[in-house]
Amino acid sequence: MSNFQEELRNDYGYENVVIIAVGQSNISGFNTNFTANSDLPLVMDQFPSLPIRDQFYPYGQHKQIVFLDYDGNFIGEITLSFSNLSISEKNYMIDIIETNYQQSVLGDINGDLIVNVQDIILIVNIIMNGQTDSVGDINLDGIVNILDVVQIVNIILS
Amino acid sequence: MKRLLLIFLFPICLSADYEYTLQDYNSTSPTYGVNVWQPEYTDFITLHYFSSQG
Repeated sequence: MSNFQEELRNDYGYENVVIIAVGQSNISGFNTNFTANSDLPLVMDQFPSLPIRDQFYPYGQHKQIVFLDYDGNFIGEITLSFSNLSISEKNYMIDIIETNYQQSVLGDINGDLIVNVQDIILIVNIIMNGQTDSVGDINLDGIVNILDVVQIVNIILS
Repeated sequence: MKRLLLIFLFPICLSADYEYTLQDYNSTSPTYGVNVWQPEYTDFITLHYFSSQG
């Protein structure tokens, strides 16, 4: 699955897609087996209530992948036959992502695919509120500050 | 009137509100120790891969 994550980013250019492994707190070994040698984020559903599975019901079965869009809305699911993805499973998953993926525009803070004065207002608010929203980090220096505002202004002017 | 109300409420009932914030336990993940899926992956399409085996 980690390979598929890499493939999505490197071969298809889907930067803003992440696979999160959802284990169970009562079963040890997820780190070494489920996400073995991978960089997939792993969260533990707390036993015995299993709130994540409860929230995702009727989804969240073993080997099931649930796809959610940017707003957390359900956009698809697939239950894998084996741990390794088949070509048809992979194509099915890419189709779901392709249908729902929005290319990000540099400097587009509010996600309307246009860079304008509204984005400047938003990024200034992010700075004033001391937030660390990665969307606002235009120059990718790990900090949202006046340099990012300047960069957005430059994008608008150019 | 009831029918109108149903028409307005039906799509709201259909839209799911999935959300959780839990620590990333994978030590080789770039977000190890950070809370995911919210807020770290807020602007992402997220694929939640469930397993009930270690």
